[in-house]
Amino acid sequence: MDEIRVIEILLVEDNPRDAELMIRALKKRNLANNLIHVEDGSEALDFLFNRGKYQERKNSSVPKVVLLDLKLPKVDGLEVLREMRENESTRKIPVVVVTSSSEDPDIKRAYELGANSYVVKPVEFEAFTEVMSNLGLYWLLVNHPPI
Amino acid sequence: MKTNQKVIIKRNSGETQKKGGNQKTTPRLSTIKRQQFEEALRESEDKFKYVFDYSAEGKSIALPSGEVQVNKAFCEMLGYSVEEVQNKKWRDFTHPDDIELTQREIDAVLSGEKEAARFTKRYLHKNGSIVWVDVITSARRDKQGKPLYLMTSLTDSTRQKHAELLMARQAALLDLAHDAIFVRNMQSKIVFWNRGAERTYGWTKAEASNQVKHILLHTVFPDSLEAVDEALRVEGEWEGELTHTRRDGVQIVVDSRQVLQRDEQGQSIGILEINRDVTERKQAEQEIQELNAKLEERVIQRTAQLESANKELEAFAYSVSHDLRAPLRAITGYANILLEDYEPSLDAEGKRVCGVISSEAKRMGKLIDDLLTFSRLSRTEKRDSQIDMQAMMQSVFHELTTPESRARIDLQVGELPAAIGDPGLMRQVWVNLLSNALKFSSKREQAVIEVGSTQGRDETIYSVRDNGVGFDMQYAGKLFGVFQRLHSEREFEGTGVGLAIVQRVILRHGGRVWGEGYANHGAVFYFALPREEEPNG
Repeated sequence: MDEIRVIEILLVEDNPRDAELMIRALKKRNLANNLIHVEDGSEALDFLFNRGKYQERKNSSVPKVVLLDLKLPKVDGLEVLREMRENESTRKIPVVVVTSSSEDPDIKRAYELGANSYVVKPVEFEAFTEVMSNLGLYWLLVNHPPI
Repeated sequence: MKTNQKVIIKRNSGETQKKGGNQKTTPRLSTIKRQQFEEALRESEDKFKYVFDYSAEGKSIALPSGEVQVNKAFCEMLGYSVEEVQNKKWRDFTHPDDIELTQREIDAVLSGEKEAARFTKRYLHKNGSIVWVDVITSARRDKQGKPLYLMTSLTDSTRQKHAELLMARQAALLDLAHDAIFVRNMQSKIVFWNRGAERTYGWTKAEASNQVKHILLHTVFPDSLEAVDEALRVEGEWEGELTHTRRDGVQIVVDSRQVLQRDEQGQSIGILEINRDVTERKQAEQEIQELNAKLEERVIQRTAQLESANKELEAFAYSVSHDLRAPLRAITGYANILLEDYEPSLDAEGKRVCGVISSEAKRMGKLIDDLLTFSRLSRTEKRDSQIDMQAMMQSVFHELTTPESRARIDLQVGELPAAIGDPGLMRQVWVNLLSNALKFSSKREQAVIEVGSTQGRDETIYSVRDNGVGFDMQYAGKLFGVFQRLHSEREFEGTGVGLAIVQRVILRHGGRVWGEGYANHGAVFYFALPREEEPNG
């Protein structure tokens, strides 16, 4: 792992297929160079707070956006969101909830906890690619981070 | 009678004058004393005679021999003159049926068994009619205690007796009634008791007669005995529920109606009471109440079960939409990776196969979405409001069409009355019916879609007609089933959920839905919604 590189996107996604497709979509727009992918909420928190295997991380700069799945092993997405919003260092990081379903009962809760956006992953490949690349473009290039 | 009166008065005044005259002469002292004593005695006798003669009550003095001396009131009572009564015995005036009773009472007094006898007996009027008389008789005795004569007071109670008898006679008719009907006099003593009362309470007429009603029946009053009496006195009647105890000790509840009876003079003479045993009805009511309570409890339980089932369904729906979609995304995604990254190694057939994989996965995604929409229809709460059906239909139509497509569609709109329903759900009805009409008429050069309504008996029937491919009526039964399709995917794409959604929504609104098809000549779909009646309609 390149310890000095600046991470722009933290992708928290337990489904490796979805993760691969998302990363592929972002790559097409050249947006995935500074992306780190973790597969559960616990690892996401370790990364954000420089704990566990990330405690040696020299550069503690914050990502420009966190793409967060809600259904995650160990620590679920809502818990990750709650801890992020409770900590000064991570409070302002934009979080985009990326989920499989518009039926997700946790969407309302996610907004209450301070999610910045909510996106349903389309089944269709073209639509999926489109949504992902728009997401990356917006949060990395259009949006101005609060810091 | 007047003559007699005059005579006596004249005689009295004459004697008084005579008395005065005597006093003016002054004979010997002893003679004077004796004269004075005799005078006083005569005066006392006079006074007694006056009281006896002019008493409003009938009076008689009867010698042990049976001869009687009676007063004017007595004579008047029986319609005789004083002279006619002279030398007659009491038996001569007494109703034959009451001679024995009278003799018994007289004997009791003469023997000293009773100080005085009080009883009611019948006399015979001179005209032959019966005169009811309340009698009080007592004996006057000498120093040895031997009875000298009987002194009797008599009060005419014929009127009261007749009233009582009349009431009893009327009441006897009431034996035919099923209800317990009885009459109690003003002392609350039972004077009439019908068969219904015998059946209801278990005491015979003879047993109940003359008993104090509230004691006999252990009446439990809603308020108090006084409250009932007061109502009877003021209103003349009382109605309510009473608890009585039967002869066998069983408590019963009766619906009681009590009416105060008055004679012509307005005197209260008795109370007619009509009681119906409602114990069984009461028990039934009690049971119904208990059953209702149980039912309510079961409804609450079932509701809770239903709610938990609903929650499970929601969780299931979420898991379906979340977990089934993920692999589909992978299938379409990886098929596309194949197409993008390995294009050179794929021939035309290879590319077509990848395309099929993708489009089938896409179709399954659509099926999942439609199924979720369908299941959401039942899960979501229905919120009714007034719906402008005209506006809703137009808005849906414009959403489903483009300006270009509208150019070849002839939309004919009739009257569409407002409806009461859930706007979100009702919109689904229009979306599905209109999109079906558009879809199945899409191959016509000029599509004609007619939307309108008619009024049924108590419902408004809306209809959507198209000139599309229609359907064969023999399959009409399959129209509204989930995933039921009457056309191949190649002809018209679709998941077969649309009409199932329509039906579910209309059923939730208490309406009905049906379709008519003519193969190649279009189809009509109807949905009827119950009409909200005018408040006074």
